Amino acid sequence: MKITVNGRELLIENSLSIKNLINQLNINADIFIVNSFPVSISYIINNNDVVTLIKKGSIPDKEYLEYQLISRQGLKEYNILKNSSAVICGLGGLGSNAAISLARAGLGRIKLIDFDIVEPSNINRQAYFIEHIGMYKTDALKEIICKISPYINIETSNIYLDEENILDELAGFQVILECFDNVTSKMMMIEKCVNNMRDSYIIGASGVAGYYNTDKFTKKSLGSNCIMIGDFESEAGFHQGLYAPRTAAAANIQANEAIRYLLKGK
Amino acid sequence: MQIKVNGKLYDFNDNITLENIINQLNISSQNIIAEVNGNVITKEKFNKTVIENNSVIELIKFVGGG
Repeated sequence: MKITVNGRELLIENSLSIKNLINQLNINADIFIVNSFPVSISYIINNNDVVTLIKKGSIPDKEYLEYQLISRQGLKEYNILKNSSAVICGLGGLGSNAAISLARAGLGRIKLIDFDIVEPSNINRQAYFIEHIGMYKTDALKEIICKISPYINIETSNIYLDEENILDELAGFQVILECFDNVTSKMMMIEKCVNNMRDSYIIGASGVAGYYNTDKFTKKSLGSNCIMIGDFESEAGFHQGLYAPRTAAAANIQANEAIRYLLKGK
Repeated sequence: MQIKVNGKLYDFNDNITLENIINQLNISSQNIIAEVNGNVITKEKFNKTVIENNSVIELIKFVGGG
C-alpha cells in the first residue's frame, strides 16, 4: 500500500502501526498525526494515509504547516489567502488581535504599522506578553506572529500615520484594517483612503468599548470600498474602559470581513 | 421632499443642505462621516452638499477606542 510520511510517498507491503513505522524509519518523534488528526502510537496505518511524525518542541517544516492549513480550510481558499495581503493600521486591542487571526488563517503578506511601544496598560486587551513591555508594538507583534506562522511575510513600519504619509504606507495592499484607538486618526484615515484607495477594501471599527452585548455590533458601509464595524456609540473614556472580550470580538469581525472579501474576490 | 436618514424616512424642504438636515435632526456633526446615495461626504462639505428628493443618507459616528 501507498502512504505519505512527512510529505514523502512510501510504498509498504504489510500493514503496520505507527510504532513499527518510527522504528523502521528510525525517526525521533512523539507526536503522530494521521490525515490531520492526532493518533496514538498503536494506530494501524491504512492505505493512502498521510502520516506526520513530529518531535515535540521542534518547528514543523513549511510544507507540513501548509498541509495543515489546506486540510482545515480547503485548497482553493488556502491558495487565495496565501497570495493575499493586508495592512494593519494601529496595533492595539483591535490591530494586534486582527493581525493574529489573519496570520492563523494563512494570509501570505501582512504589514504592521504603529509608532508606539507596548505599555503595562495594554496587556488587558492587546495580544502582547509582559516580556514585550517597552518593545515597539511592530516588533513584539511580529515576534508573536512568527511563533504562530514562522514562514509568513511580515513587514513592519514604526511610523505615526498622518495625511502626508498614509497613502504611501498603505499602497499596494488588498485589505486595509483601520484599528486605531484615537478618533482623529480613525477619521483621517477613512476620509483619506475611501476616496483615494479605491482598489483596496477598508475595514474600520467604531464603538467597541465596555462590555455591552455584542449584539449591538453592526456593519455600515461607507462608499463602495469601506465597511465600519461596531456599535457607533460606545466610546473609550474615564468610566468606560476597553475590555479584551469585546475589543477582540470586534477585531475578529474585522478579520472575518477581510477573509470574506478576499475569498469572494471582491 | 422625502429623505431617508439612517434607515428612517423624513420630510424636509427642497434644496436643503446636509448640514441643515443634521442640525434639524439634533445630531452633533462632530466626528461624523456621511454617505449620500453611496458617495462619501466629509465634514467640510456638509454645508455645500445640497440634498435631492429621495436621497438615502447614512450618518456614521466615529468614536475612540481600539
